Amino acid sequence: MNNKRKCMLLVVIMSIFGVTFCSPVEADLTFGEISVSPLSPTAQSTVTLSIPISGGTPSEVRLTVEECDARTGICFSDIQNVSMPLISVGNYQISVTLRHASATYINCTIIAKINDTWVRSPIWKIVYLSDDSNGNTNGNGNGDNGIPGFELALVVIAIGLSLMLIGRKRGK
Amino acid sequence: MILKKEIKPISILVFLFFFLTVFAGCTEEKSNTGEDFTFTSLDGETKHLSDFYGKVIVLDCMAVNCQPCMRQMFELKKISENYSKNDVSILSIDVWVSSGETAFMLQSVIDAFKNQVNLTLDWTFGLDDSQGTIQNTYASTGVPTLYILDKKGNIYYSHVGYESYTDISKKIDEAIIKN
Repeated sequence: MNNKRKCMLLVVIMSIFGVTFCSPVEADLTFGEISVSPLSPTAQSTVTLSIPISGGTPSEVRLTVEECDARTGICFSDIQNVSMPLISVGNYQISVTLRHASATYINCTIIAKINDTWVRSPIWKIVYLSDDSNGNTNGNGNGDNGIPGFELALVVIAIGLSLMLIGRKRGK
Repeated sequence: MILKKEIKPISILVFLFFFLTVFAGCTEEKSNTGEDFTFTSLDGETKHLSDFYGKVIVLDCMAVNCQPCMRQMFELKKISENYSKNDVSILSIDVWVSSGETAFMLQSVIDAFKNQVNLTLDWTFGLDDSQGTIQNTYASTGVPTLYILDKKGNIYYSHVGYESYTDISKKIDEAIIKN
């Protein structure tokens, strides 16, 4: 199975997966399209996400933002789960600041609470982040890239000091 | 007097050696022992990691809402096909239960693989608890996080992020030989 085919299959799986169990339990509630501002956000920037919801007034709407790095194939564990306030009739909006310098896309899902039942939006939004933001593209999100910087500096200093001391002794 | 002069730089070198030895270990990762944990299987049973000791364990800490984790399933399937179940056990644990993922969601993914791609994910699936105990211990950075444990339950290898079958199988082979 080549990679292109695998990707296609994954899209199919994820779509079916979304439609299968993300379908609203409460049929009345209708989720609109999640909109993002700016359209091409950058890593570690602030993104504003909005969604129109009709067919009822949820007591709470929550947004989940997962940051992922497609290059290393990681979705970071520190998911942001925030409440979306109602900003106008049927419209919910929130701004979130992205955390990971190495994130290349974000995965946004929305759930709404109506009649004490949480209903998941059938559509989630994947937003690809602009390249120019990723100054730290090699990072793994926790600042440790596996390169021995601190230790190497100490070794170099130690060698330098040793050579200086030995040189001084010999000079005498 | 001369002896004293020679001892001084040596003592400095000895001091530097110990100083470096101590500090060079500061970024060392966690210990090699795989901490036992409890998880809930898809049929609601409580199981332990230690139930699988005696075979090489491929522990896949994953999440449903994670695209790389879905890609990883294809690689794990190859492991399932190419290794004897007497040698290797695969264990996929959904560690994002604390973020709202459920057994129903996990089962839906397994069903989708079977129905849409004709891929039977024929290994053990389970879920973390709602406090994220396994996530905090084994997948605090992100998912997928893969571990290979030897037959005694010691961590032989770990990797954060998607990994190909070729790379995983090399480590499995080493872990099998090690025992």
